[in-house]
Amino acid sequence: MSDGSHPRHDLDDVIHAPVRLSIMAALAAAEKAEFRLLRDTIEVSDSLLSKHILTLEEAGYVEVEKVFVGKRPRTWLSLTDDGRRAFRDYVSVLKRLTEGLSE
Amino acid sequence: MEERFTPRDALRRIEEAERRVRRPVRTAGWTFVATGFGTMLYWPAMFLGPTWAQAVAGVAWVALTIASTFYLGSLRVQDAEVAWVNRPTSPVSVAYVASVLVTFLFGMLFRPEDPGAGWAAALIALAVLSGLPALYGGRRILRAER
Repeated sequence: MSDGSHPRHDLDDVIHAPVRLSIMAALAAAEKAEFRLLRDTIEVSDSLLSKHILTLEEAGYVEVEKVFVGKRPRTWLSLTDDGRRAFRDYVSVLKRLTEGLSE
Repeated sequence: MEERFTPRDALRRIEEAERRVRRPVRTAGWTFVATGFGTMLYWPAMFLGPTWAQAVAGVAWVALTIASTFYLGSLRVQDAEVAWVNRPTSPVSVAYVASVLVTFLFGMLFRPEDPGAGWAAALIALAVLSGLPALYGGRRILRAER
């Protein structure tokens, strides 16, 4: 636990933002996902998605891979091992919080 | 600017993102299931059916092959089960190609002039067997859904 005893203090601030959480959840459900699929799935603009991906990449949670299919560039995104671990921990804290709420 | 959201909102958002990103994977699974059942129907139609059934089966086979190849090739999400099933050297692919080949050769080389019930039953059994690998692949992908 961090500063306080309440489980909410254990929520990872990097993940605990709506767009970044959606990115993490989507990537946790697949090996890799293409940038355009994520954009359409989360329903955000290219620039907003790029901004949040950069934050996750800097935290070491997301890996970005740029490839070319013919002449067309494709950007594939995946969770790193640290990212998967952080997401699992985040979900377990969320569950603890919601279980606490339902008691 | 970030909106504030509760733990329940967060869990709902996770479920929604997972459901949406897995949709193409589910479709890929159903594509394999359709290929399996299509294969089971294709061979009896080709070797036992009237001319119109052969024509329908031939067109449907080509259409299904083109559609599934295009769909699987343009997937924007990578999934371990789909990759495993779709790999050319996977047990599913090898079993599918081998069983289709056996059924084809049986139909082409051993078809009597007037096929009796025994031959038809053998062909139907082979047709069912040749569809099983794709059905297994599809089931495996769909069962991996969380």
